[in-house]
Amino acid sequence: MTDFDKLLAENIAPAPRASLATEILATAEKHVPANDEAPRQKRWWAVGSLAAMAMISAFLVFQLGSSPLDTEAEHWEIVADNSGFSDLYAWVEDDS
Amino acid sequence: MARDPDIDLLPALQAGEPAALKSLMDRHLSRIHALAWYMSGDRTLAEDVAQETFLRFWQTAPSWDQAGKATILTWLRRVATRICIDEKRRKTPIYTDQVPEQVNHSAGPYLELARSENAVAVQTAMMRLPERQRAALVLSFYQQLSQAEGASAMGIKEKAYESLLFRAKAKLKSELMTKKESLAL
Repeated sequence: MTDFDKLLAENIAPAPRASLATEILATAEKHVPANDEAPRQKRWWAVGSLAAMAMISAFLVFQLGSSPLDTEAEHWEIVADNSGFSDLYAWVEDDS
Repeated sequence: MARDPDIDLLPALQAGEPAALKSLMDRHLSRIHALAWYMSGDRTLAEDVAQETFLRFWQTAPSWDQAGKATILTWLRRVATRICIDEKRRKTPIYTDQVPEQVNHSAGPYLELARSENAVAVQTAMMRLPERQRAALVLSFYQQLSQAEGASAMGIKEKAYESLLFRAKAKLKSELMTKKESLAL
């Protein structure tokens, strides 16, 4: 060991106060770690699911907003065909 | 990478069991406190840094990923070192929600008398080193870390650590050796 090392070795750090660990524990118990890794992932899933649901809803509303009338018209056209009133149905529809 | 000797405490730490934190402190509180003391030269500050370091680990434990990470002790050393380096910018402790008790943390006349003139001279000279150089010296000499471990604790490359250590030793040696005659060597 060199003189320099001996000199450095003379500088010895004091020990921590005996009560320090107890104080840290007391503070830690007030701040129990929030194990929120899984909930955070779940929140992302929830946000993703909500976004997907909103998109599906918007798509359905768009589709339903236009299709019922078409479907109804086709339905009545078929009924008119089957009952022999297709010419009358066509005449009424064309007129309207 | 070698197995982390503190990994046995991790499940209990992740479950938020204070007993596990106590065991971790039984193993490493003195080391972390000493590191902070050598870095700051101040007992009160060293205790604050030690407290903050362990509480940060306490909060980090639930999301601790063993794969590809440093050991718990390396993490503690890294955080303590960083807190000490950043201390000038940090004014208020982050885990305090109460007015602290008025405890006299000063070393007291007995301890100051017990510290030799050489010890005081060394610590005074160390405090004149730039923080990062001081950190390299503390990790290398007082914490007995290898170059790779010291670099990991500081979060820098080995070459950079080596350079810091070299400059720290050179500067400290020059300062102390010029006082050699007045010091009891």
